[in-house]
Amino acid sequence: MKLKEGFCTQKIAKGQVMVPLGNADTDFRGIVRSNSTAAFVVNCLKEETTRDEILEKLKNTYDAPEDVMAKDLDEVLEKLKSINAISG
Amino acid sequence: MKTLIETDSMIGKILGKQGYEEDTSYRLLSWCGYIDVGEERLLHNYMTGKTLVMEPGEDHDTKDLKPELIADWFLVPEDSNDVQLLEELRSAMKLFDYKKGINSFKILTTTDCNARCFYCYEAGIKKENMSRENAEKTVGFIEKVRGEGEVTLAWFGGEPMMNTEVMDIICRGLKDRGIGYASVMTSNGYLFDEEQIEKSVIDWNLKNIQITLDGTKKIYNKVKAYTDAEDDPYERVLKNIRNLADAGVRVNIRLNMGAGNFDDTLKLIDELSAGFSENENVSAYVSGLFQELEKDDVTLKKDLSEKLIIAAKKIADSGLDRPKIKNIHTRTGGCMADNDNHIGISPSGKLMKCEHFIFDRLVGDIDSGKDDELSKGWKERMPDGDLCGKCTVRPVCYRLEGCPVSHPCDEFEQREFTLRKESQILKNWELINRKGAKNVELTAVSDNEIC
Repeated sequence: MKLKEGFCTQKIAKGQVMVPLGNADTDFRGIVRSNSTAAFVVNCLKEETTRDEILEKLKNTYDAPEDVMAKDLDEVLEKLKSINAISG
Repeated sequence: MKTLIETDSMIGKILGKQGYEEDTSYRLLSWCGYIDVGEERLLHNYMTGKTLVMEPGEDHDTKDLKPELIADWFLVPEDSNDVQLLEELRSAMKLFDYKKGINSFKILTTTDCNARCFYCYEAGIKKENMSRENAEKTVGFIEKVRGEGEVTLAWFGGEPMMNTEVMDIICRGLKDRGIGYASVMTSNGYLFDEEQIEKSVIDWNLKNIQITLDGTKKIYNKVKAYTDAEDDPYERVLKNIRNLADAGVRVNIRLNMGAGNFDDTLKLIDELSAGFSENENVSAYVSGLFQELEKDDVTLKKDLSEKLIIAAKKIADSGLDRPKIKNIHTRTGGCMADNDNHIGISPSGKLMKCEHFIFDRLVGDIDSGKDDELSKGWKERMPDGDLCGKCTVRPVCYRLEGCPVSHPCDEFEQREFTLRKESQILKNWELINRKGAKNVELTAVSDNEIC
């Protein structure tokens, strides 16, 4: 899976915002605001990757129980899918 | 504490509420400032646009207020990099610029002018009029590049009224193609008569005109030195201002002031107040002659800055500033030069980003279109001056490196600029108190949001 073309991110304070530009293949026209962990996931999706690869990177970066991280990751991915931001 | 004006909607959606971190020391964001209003104090956040009314005894250190002040970015962690935060916000806001297309066209009908103002930046330039052919091509260009909705035509010159034929052609062409438009104009106001005023309203859909006055009758007529004056130009222009306003056109009178015409400017404000204070379509503002503001003479600039403050206050006291509620928050652009929504068209059909550059630093033409690479050069920002780093009003200041009439402030200019912004915030307070309005929110973006 990968973040679709046309979704643009900008770091802000300790988080990140993401908006679909005009060429993005989505009906969503709003702002996705992410905390630092969600931003980490979004940034992983800028290259072709898998859920398990992202989880592995999360484990290598953050100090939290794996099941908590997996749950958070799935929630973020679900939200990104709901606005048609991920391909594959 | 209560809210006078809410955070700008787009900024609020980008920033969200700031989370509270335990064991963190907080301080006032560098871009917040207090303004006294009697026993109360306004606390304005120039980054977000939110204004709070603090009751006697309250300030940003009041313990009970901290959660709300942190959530709304008035307080930030002690180690916050405020400049970085502001620039990240600007970058995020700019992500929304792509949608607009070009909807604003500054059209120079001619570079010729019937006045000979000594301070004119166009003095001595080549005189050229837009041809009928270029007017027709301009219609085609607008049709091709415009974004959604109505387009705004800003008639400019020289004196745009010296070539009204091309205005007729362009407006008729747009109407024939079903393209909605409204006009604004920058003019000396001399060449209007009753017939032209009727035409400006009906055919050009003129909504707003800026007319410059340089002083009372004697000084005005001397400075303008019209080449075609048949009567008393001052009286004629005042009559045209009245007739335009009565026809429904909003007339914004610009009072050009240098250090030498301060006293006369104050007299002029009295005259305008007597003649137009009851006419809601007439407003006025004072502007310093940029030739004097650009000089490296600190004494002169200090003197002019102080005089500008006095003249602006006199205009406000007369009611001629026609105050409106306006949210003062982070800017993402300087002027038309770095605005992708705007383009200028010279009489010869060249595309320009600044009216000070009609023959060079062009960005294309109406035949081949806009060159985006050339346009990028206009977006370069001016490096910070000595005072920018901690300047409270930094978010609302955005200066371009290529601007011929701008430079980093000295302390006097910084004070004048800050006072202008504080004055607008005070007007907001007065207007909201007068009208009884609450929690005014002035802009909006999509409500879709995932956090």
